[in-house]
This record gives sequence, structure tokens and C-alpha cells, in this order.
Amino acid sequence: MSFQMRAPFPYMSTTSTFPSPEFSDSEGLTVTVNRMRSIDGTLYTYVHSKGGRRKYVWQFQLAKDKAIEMREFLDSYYSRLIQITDHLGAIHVGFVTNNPFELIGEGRANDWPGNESVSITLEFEEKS
Amino acid sequence: MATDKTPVWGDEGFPLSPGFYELIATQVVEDALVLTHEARTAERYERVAHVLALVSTGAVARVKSYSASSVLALSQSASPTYTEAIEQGMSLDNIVDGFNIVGDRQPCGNILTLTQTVFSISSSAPIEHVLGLTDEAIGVGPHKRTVNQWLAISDHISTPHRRFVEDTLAFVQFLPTPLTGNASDILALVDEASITNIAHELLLTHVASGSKLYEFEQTLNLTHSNILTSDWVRRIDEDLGVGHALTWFRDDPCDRKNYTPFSGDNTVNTVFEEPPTTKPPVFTSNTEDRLVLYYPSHAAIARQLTLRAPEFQDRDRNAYTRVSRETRGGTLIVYSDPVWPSVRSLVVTVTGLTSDEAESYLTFMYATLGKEIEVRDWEGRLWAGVIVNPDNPITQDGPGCKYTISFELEGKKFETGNPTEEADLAGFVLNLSDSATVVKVSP
Repeated sequence: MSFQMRAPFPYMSTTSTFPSPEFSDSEGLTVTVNRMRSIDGTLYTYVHSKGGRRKYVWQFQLAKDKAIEMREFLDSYYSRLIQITDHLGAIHVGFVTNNPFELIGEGRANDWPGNESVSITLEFEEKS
Repeated sequence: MATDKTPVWGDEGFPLSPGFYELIATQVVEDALVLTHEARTAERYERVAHVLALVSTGAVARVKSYSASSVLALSQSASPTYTEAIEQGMSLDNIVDGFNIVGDRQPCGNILTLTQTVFSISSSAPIEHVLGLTDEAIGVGPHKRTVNQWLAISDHISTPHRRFVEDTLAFVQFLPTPLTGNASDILALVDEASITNIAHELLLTHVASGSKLYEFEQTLNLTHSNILTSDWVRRIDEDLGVGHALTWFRDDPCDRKNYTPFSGDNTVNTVFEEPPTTKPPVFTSNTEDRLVLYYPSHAAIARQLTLRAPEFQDRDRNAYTRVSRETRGGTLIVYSDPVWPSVRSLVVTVTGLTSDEAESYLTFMYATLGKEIEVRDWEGRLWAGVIVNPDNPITQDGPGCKYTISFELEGKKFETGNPTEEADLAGFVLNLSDSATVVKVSP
């Protein structure tokens, strides 16, 4: 199963495929809870559910050429809705939120296009 | 009859008006020609052609005559009763040639042409051709005591001292209808005044005036045209705003490593720029000087620092300018204008430097503090920007060549090749050539 990014949503015309992300990927809510305790000890909570949308973090180990493709993809669509089909087959629609977006040279990879491996961390938030 | 008497001159050297010649009646030449040409027949002919052409010329000898008049009166009629073809042509020319009043010999021309032609050899369709200049004044009833009507077409030139004067007054109406069944062309200048109006004026004024100019041009064109030169095709265009978008991909292991963005089609939203379908150029690295810093940028090199290639964990940092907001309901909205800047940075760490190289680095940092420099990296890419952390210290991690430096360059990257590839350096190389050649020629 590959990792696919399509944009611009919903009139998608560009698709880029990537290998599955590394382990330690994360998925969480974007909710916030504020606690307020009254003078008599009663606890009050104020929540911001944000529609239950989620935030994802994926880390990729890519060939140099593929890393350049992801950079060009984000150069074009960093402020547009992106549809992601993750390595589990789940489909998400939202924005890439990490800023700045970094390509980190990790080491040599002689058989990979570009002869180098590049590490990229992708932070993604669903729209709603 | 003409005489040889000298004309009477005024005080200013100009000949006096004709009214002063009445005492010398013999100086006037008059020539009147009145002809009537009529052709009639009681017989029935299939074609009658009737042409009358007359030329009346009043010519006087130079200097010896002071007034000349020429009168040409023509009457022409053709009225066959049963003919199928009628041709009638009338041409009236009035030509005056002589001296102007200043005394210099200048050509003088006056041409008046009234042309009306009806030509038909077909009896299937009627032809009506009317050319009329009508001036009519009608007074009816006891309450209208005075009726004045003035129809004038006037073209006047009076310029004794101007060197170049051109004056044209033209009314043109042209209606070519070779094949159409019905066409109309109307040029109308209408001036109406009802009885309740006191004054009513329709003025088309064209004035050209100059006091000290030798040449003066002024043009006023009123054009009314209705020309049919092609067939009319009725068509209705309406953009319904309906488009399509298509994307595709190929899930292949090689496509997960190579630069293969799959671009489809999009006719709905085209305000974005798709990623390039081919990979941006990657140049061969220079095996000798892997990391070179130049100062100043885009100019002759004043300072240069050469280092070895940096360690891994280099960072190609891309920062975008965008606005992220959350609505009250928690929806995430991101906006960015294409003209908003994006910042690109290069973060590198170089180890294994000698103490001299580390000291040269600090010297270079101090000399170029806050100034734009160029960096040729280990892949042959050319960067231009500013080092934003010159206070980053150098560290000695061990004895000998164990110095480590790190810096962050913020700027932009140019898509150029290695310095050894001259073709890719277009725009960055200034060649000045000065040569002198002496050729010795043997006697």
C-alpha cells in the first residue's frame, strides 16, 4: 500500500505516490480542554471540540528525487486542500501545517534515485 | 472684343474691383452659349441613345483682360416611350484658369461636377435614382408673414498671404448593393424647428486657424457607414461554469522512488501552478571544492572561502507565508496569496576543519556580516543569501583537524550548474576583451 497525495481538492488533477511512512506515526485530536476550579472545589471544564477533526504526523524516508517531488508538490499546494490516502487506506482531506517544511539529508543511498536518502516529516490537519 | 488699355490700379498696388471698370466697357469679354439639343421620334425602337456633350470655354489673353465670364446652359432630355433600355448622361464642367490676384503665377482651379447616372438593361426590376438638391420656402396662411429659408453648401478659400491652404467640403453617400435583395443606407442631417421655438440651430463647425504658422492641418471626419461584407451566423455562447478534473496514478515501487508526479486535467480551477512534470536539474558535484562561499553576490569576487563538504543532516528548509485560522465550529481554513514570499534556507554543518580554516571562516563571517553572499554547495547548486547566525561558534571536538562549524543561509537558490559548466553560467559571467592587432605590411 502506498501513500498518496492528491490536490487541489475537490478538483484534483495531481497525484503523487510515496512509500509508506516510518513507524512512530501519530494520529490525534485537535481538541482543547480548559479547566476551571471554583472556590468550593467544583471542577468546570471548557472544551473546544473543533468538530472532532484530527491531526496526523508522518515521517518518510525518501529517495532524493522523491523528496524533491514532495517539495514541488507542497510548493504548489501548501495553501490548498489536499486529499491523502494513507498507508492504511484511510482518506483524509485537509492541509499540510508544518511550517517550515524541511528536507533533511540522512545518508548515502547509491541505488536510489538521487543517490541519497532524505527524511521528511509531514504534519497534516483535517479541515473539519 | 478686347483692348490693350492699361488697367486701373489701386493705392496698394492691387487692381480695383470690377465695379471700377464700367467706364472702360471695352475691357469686358463676354461669351454666352445656349444650346438646345432634342431628339424625338414617333417610331418604336428597341434602344435609343442620346448624348449631348458641350464644352464652353471663355479664355482671355494674359495681362490684357481683367474680367471674363463664361456661361454654359445645358438642357438634355431623352424620353422614348417604349424602349427597354435608357441611358442618359450629363456632365457639367466649369473650369477657370488664370492668374491669382497677387501677381505670382499660381495655378487656379475650379471644378464643379454634378453627376447623375441611371443605367439599366434589365426590365425585371424597377430602378429609382434621385439626386436632388431642394430648397423650398412655403408660406401658407395669414399668420405667417415672413418665411425665410436658406440652404447653402459653401466652400470658401480666401487667403492672399498663406503659403499652403487646402480646404475640402464633401458629402459622400455610397450604397453598393450588387446582390442583396434589400438594403438601406441613410445619411441624414436633420434640423427641425417647430413654431414654438424661437431659435433652433444645428451646427457642424470645423475651424482651422493659425496666425504665424506656415503649415497647419486640421481634420474633422464624420463617417456613417453600414457595410455588409460577410454572412452573419447566429451563435449563443454561455459559460455554465461546469468543468472536469481528472487525476490518475500508477502504484509501482519505482514510482515511489523516482520523481513521478502524475498530472491529469483540470478545467474547473486553473489559478494554481501544477508541480513540474520533470525533475528540477541536479548538477554534478565538484569533487575539489565542495562548499565555496563568495562575496559579494553577483559581482566580481572579493572574498572567497573554500570548505569541505558538509555532514549529513543538512536541511533544505522551505518556509511558506500563509494564514491559518479556525472558525467557531472548528473548521481549519488556510489562505495564501501567490505573491506572498516564501523563504528558503540551507542549514549545514562542516566538521574536520583545521584551525586555519576555522579562523578563515570567522574572518569571512566578520567581513561579510549582514551582507549577501553566494554559496556553491556540494551539488553544484548556487545559493544567494545572508547567513543569519554568524554568532554560531566554532568548536574543537578533538585534537588536530577537529574543528566544526555550522551556519544557516537564508536566501534563494538559482537553477544553475557547476561553475565548470560555462553554459549554465549565463547571466553571471562578464567577459571583457581588449585587444590590439598590428599588421605589418611589407613595402
